Amino acid sequence: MTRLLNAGFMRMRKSKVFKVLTIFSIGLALLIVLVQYNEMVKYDKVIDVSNLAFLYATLISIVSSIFISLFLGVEYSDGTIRNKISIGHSRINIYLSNLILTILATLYSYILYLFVIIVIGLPLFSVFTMSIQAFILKLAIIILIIICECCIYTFIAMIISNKTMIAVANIMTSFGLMMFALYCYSLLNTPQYIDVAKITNQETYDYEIVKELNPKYPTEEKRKIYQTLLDINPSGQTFQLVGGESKNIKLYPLYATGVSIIFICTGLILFRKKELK
Amino acid sequence: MELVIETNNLLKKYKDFKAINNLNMHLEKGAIYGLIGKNGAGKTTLIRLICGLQKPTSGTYTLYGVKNTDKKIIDVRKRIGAIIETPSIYQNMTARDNLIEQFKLIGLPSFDSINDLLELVGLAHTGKKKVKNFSLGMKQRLGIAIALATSPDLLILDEPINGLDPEGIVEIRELILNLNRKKRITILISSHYLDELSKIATHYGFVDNGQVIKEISSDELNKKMEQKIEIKVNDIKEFVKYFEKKHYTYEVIEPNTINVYGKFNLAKFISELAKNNLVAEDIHEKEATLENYYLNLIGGKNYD
Repeated sequence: MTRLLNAGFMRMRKSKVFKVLTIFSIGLALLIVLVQYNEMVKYDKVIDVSNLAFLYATLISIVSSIFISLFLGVEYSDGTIRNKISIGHSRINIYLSNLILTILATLYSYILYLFVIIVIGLPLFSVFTMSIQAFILKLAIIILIIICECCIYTFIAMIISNKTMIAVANIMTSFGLMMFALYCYSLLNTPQYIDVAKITNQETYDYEIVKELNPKYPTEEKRKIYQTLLDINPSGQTFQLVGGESKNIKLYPLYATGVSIIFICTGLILFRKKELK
Repeated sequence: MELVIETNNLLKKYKDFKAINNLNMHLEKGAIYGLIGKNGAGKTTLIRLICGLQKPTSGTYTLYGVKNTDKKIIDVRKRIGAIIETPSIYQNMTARDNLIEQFKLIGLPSFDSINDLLELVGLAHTGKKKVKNFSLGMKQRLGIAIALATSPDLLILDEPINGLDPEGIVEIRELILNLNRKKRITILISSHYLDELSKIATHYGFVDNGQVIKEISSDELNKKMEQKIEIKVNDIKEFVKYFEKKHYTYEVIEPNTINVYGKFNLAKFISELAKNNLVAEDIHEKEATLENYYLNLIGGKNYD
């Protein structure tokens, strides 16, 4: 495993995709700081650095899906995965080493972003409303969510043998998770009552506004299902965390770990059986 | 003789299609074993099974005496270097970086021997040139260098000269012979280029429909491929008596067919037989090449 990781780190250092990831993470942080600085100057807005620190979390799912597809896809397109097996590395070690590499690369991207935001943003905006304890807790949960997303995308990359297919499947999955999270989110935010205009006088067209039960409002049972689906979905967790509406924050680590374990175990079983060409 | 690879009724099915069908082969230590067969005969599938990329449906194989079902097979694979179809190399890296990557995968602490390997395969001059800009021959040679990084006892090469220009073919041939003779590396090589194989192989395995239909050493094959005259006769005994008396090398291949090996002038040979009252129904010379031998073997379905 150590050998696989050593070789993997070397490849990552030399990889163009990794260099692009590094530049993107720094660039995004700088862009966000710049835009917020303009807002502060133009509209006299108060910019909270603790909020900026978590903005990238909503986007990192897509970034990691692209990075993992390109970085691991090369193993199949260049045929190097065959070499690893034929020189005596076990499939379990190959899978796990690739997973560790992709998790570390994605976390590196996030930490790099965070570093730039704090180092430049803090002296510039001077506002950090969150307590250190709360900040660390939120960060820890986001790290777990990132690991969970890496488990999903690595699973896809290791099971599909075609680089293009890996990229398509991973990007579609990342967007799918986001769309599904937004769908659940919007259903849960459906107002229970809606304002309805009722005509009280047909001749004068007088009307009054009355509150009526919204027929699209999900039943309590359905709300529970949507909320659970939103909480299990890593994108759903991120949206709720960043939006500051985390109802079941204590369950997030549990769900993220559970989903990670399911994908790691399934991935290992399938990759062990996979017929390579 | 120690066997490096031995397969026992190996079977590999893809749904209903048998890519490998009860295949038995034997690769001796120190040999250059040429695996010959048409496209889809099962050569690459066999190599994939041996390298652990796929699992056999049934049957077994042993590598250096260790069965494929034994957990130690992973350790034995460390004695193998392989190129399967295309070399396993990172296209966006230099030749040197690819070798460093391989050294790290193997766990070698020093990169000192990288220069020697690059020198051995004639890629020492490539510098910072990325592999994606290499010619096909250079990529193949780099693939071999990577396979050699493990200091393997067995080198498996699947179609190593496919797509190479004549110069590239000669380079790979010289390299293979060098590795076998100087480094005593056993080599399993599959190829469509029969003439090329005949220049290096010490043993042959002819594959058809997922089976090794014939295993033969190059010495035996050379004997069979000597220039010969094939004679169809009515009374075979008289001919045999005559050839014995004249000490000709002959072989009765069918009840009414005899092969006589050696260089003969056909016209003189026929008149010599006529003088001795030996009349043949049909008599003709046979050109002897590996290609003909292969085609006869596959076409005739007579695998003895």
